[in-house]
Amino acid sequence: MKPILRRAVIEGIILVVVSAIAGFAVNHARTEGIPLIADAEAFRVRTDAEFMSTEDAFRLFEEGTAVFLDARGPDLFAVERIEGAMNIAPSAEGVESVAWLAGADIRVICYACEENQREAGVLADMLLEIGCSQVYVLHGGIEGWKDSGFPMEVGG
Amino acid sequence: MRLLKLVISNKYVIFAIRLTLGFVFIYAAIDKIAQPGAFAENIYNYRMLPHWAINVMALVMPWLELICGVLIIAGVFLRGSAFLIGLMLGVFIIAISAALVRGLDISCGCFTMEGGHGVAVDLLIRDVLMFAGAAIVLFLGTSALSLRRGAD
Repeated sequence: MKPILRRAVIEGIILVVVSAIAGFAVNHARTEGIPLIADAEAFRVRTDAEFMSTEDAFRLFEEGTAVFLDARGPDLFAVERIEGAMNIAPSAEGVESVAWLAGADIRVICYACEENQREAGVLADMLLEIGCSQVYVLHGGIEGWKDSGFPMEVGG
Repeated sequence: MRLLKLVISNKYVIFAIRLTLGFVFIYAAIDKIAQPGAFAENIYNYRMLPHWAINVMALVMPWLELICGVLIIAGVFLRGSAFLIGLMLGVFIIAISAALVRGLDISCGCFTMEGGHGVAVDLLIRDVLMFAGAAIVLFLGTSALSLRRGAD
């Protein structure tokens, strides 16, 4: 390797290490730092709501302190859904039908199928806009719930 | 050709290139450092990196831009900073080209995280020109007009 390039590579490695230390340290010191390993779903689903794991959601399900909103289409909802879930479209009409949730002290967990979790994110954002403060998106969607063996309802 | 070589090896021309690259990279770093989450989303939009690498990139790259920008102006670690700026520009050129080929309608994420410039050919030309500038500094840069004497 030419001396210029060798020197450039050595200096470059030093600068990358210094930058990594600075980047990680500042992120660690921040109150709203980002995790080092990104959650792929957090990128796919654009939402201001937080994500909730299936295990945490199931705990709330057992306590009866959460409402589950299914943002999929009615045909898919009719086939199977999380037990007790309501089918709410991410639309003005859909959100209006559950506007009472804004005044209720209850957690709202939105979900769709994993492939189309974006819909759940849209619904969650609309609920946040009307004043619901405890809105979450179910991590992994209905598939994550189902794969964990948690209660489902099948058919009409 | 001889005239071109004479021009690009002139210490004032090289200093002007260093200033341009330095200020562009410092400016580019500020919003990314302030909003790493938004920058991570911009990286994700290019669909080039595995998801586990996106946040690491979003945290390290802006600091690399800032540090390299400052050092290339100061003339300290001149070779290393020019090399890394060239490397980053190479990555940007590949990413923008791939986005254009795939027809992705996304914000470039170059300077501002909210509603920036969409990926387009003019960005590609800008990055190629800056890449050439980084190469000139890397191979022809000297300690002239640097804080550190004997930097070359």
